[in-house]
Amino acid sequence: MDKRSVVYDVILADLADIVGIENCTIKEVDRLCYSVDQFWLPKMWVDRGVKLPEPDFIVFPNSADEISKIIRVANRYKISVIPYGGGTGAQGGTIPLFGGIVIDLKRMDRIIRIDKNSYTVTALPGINGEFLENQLNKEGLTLAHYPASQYCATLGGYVAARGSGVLSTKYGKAEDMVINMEVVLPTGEVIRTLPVPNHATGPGILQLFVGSEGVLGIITELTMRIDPIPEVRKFQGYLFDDLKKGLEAGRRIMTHRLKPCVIRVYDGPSTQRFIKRVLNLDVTGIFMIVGVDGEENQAIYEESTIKKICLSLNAKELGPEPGKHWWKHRYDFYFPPFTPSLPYMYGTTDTVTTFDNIYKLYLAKKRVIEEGYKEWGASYTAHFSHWFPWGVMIYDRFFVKRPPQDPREAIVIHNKIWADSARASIANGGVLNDHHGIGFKLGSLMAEQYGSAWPLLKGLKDMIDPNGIMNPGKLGF
Amino acid sequence: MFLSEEERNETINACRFCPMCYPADAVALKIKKMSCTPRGRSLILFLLNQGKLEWNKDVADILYKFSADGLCREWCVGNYDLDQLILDARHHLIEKGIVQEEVNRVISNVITYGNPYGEKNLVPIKQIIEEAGGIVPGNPNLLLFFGCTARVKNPLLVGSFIRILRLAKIPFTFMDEEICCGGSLYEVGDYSSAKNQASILADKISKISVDKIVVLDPECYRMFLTRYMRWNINLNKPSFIFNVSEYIWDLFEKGYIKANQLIKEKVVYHDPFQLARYAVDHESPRKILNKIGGSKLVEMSFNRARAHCCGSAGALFFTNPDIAIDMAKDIIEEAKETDAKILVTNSPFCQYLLQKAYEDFHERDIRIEHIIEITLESIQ
Repeated sequence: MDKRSVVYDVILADLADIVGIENCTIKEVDRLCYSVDQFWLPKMWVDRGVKLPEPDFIVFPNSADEISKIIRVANRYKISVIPYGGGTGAQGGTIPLFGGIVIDLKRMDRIIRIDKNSYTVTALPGINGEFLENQLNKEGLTLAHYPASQYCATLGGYVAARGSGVLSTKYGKAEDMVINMEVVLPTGEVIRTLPVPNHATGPGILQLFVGSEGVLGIITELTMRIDPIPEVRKFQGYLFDDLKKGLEAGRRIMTHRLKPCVIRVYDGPSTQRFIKRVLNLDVTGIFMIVGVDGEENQAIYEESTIKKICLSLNAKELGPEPGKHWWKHRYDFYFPPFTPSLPYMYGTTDTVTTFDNIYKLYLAKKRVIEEGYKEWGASYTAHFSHWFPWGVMIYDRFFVKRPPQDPREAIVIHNKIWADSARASIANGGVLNDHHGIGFKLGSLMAEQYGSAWPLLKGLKDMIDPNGIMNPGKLGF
Repeated sequence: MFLSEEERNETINACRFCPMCYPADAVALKIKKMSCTPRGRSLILFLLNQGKLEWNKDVADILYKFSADGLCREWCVGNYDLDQLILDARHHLIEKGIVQEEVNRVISNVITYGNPYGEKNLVPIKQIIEEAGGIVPGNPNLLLFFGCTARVKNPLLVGSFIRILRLAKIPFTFMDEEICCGGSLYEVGDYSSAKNQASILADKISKISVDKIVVLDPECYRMFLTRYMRWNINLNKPSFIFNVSEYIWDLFEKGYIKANQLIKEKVVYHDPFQLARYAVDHESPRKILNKIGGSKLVEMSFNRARAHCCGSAGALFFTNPDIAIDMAKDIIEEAKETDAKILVTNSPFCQYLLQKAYEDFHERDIRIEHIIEITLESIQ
């Protein structure tokens, strides 16, 4: 928007009237900081000196009512709205592609209620993940949601992106923890979902907004399931000589309906690249960590059953230390200098599928990257870290050592790798993404993934957001 | 600049997109604006280097809204020195003359009045000592350096330490005219004035023949032990520099003083950031508190190297007092969570800020003391 225009000044005045001028900013230095998230593309743009898409306004509301009023202003002037939590998404979900109003939710950061009978917590969406967990821990409770972004992400962001934490195998993803929500719709109405997530009262609107990445509305309050801090948490490390055996061990553990809190299986290159470098464990092969937690007797039973499964597949026992070490240092992978960074081109192309597909999906994606992009020095690593009763997700990454310097060429290669990898996932029983979301990185492939169901989603979006103001360009809309 | 160009670029490149130390940045947690986060500030510095942003008052406002208490570096697995990066950027702002009025006031106060508070009429040290009972007869091998914060905000604290030395019968000497160590000048980025102060002070100290220097203020202690080295000023030779709690513990260990009355209430200790993460001393104050309190010492959730700052770092109190006081309130809340009745610190500035923040609390269920004061209560 032209900042010299009188309409710009009028909108600013309207926004200041709602939240107070002290909770609005249009300063260049602020707008630039809201133009990047953890997606590789905006980082590359920054690095190469490319002009970033910037928001026109940034506001910091303190209530659903204020958000409702802001959205009505946005509708009046047909200006985009981008909800913003911690800015830790890796898919470009908060990049203001067409300018607009960034609604930073971090002022809405209170815990409303902890229900120790029902084991739920009700909180506002801008509450920091680490802060929330610390507050719950003081009461002997836990959200048990430990994504890599916990230090900086927000509760609303967890749910809006269908995020996953390292203990999701037992405790579920964020989408599994949400009980009910309050949402401000793209037309400004404030609605509440039903008080409980399981019922027989027709199609559930709760899951409509879970994973909606800000394109169907803004979450303004959430009630989440919580758990008691477990009596014990124990880890064991194993080493397999073959990835298929490692995956089979995981499958048997899950289909035995055991409830480990974590299973992590690292392919050979991951073991070599990350485990040694970050955890300082010099092992070669397929490294596996398994964790169990809960009451001590339960944990002992599960641990011994898991051990039998792993040993039956010729695993070598590494003892509890590797797992304990990993748990203590689980976020180290995401700090510099260990986290992937420029000048590499990189991406996490995670997906999820059923047990019968996972190994062929892994091979297909590995081939797509390593053979398809050999000239660019591409490499591929994978680990399998979030397990379900029916399947497992693959947390796989590509690294390109020598990406093009020209930003436009870099985008072409980047998008092609992503598209090839995503199509390999879809062709082998997977989906576009497991827990990072779609953003604008994968939006162009949504119609392809949903096929004949896509018009249903598109129609819903058009109906709920008639002016198309909510986070445009994301989720394929 | 104290980071080399290579270190600066490496730190900027590491931090400009990284969100991982967000919980360690108390100012970021309060302001909630992305530009005031560690990655926001680093991104801004990157864009300034690229010429995509101009050095202006908006940039200055963000760079002075930072605590520089070392917790980000401690939190970071890569130990990138974000604090020094920001202080170097402040130095750049000073050179360009783009700083807020409050920064200029700090500088002119130190140069004109010898303290950043602008206090013109400091109680003479000699008078404080006389009111505390006078010097201890004997040949002193000990120089006391009090620092300006204690003298401005709590001269009785100085007197209390003199009383401890009198009870221990330790002869001491002092400087009639103490000058500022330059700590606050360094924190606002005026390196040349800080270096000037350091040189003048070092010269004065070098003319005093002693074996030991006891430094009451951890900021001065940190300056002497770490930052002065950057200017090749080494006060450690031939003297040995103690911080005040280290010295008090030494007096206990050698039997110069004894705990005659034990503390009856639960005590919790707030680590000043300088001793938490720079010139590190976590244990001497805790040893003292255990000595005089039995098993009544409890800990806040974040302590020692991970202790939260009370707002005394990075000249934040001078540039953004509301934020600093808010941080001090958080420390009091953390202390209250331990059910402690006494919150002890080892810094006159921390004590001042905590007491100031405590004025807004309705429930007066905790008292705030300096380690010197609580020690004196116990040994009298």
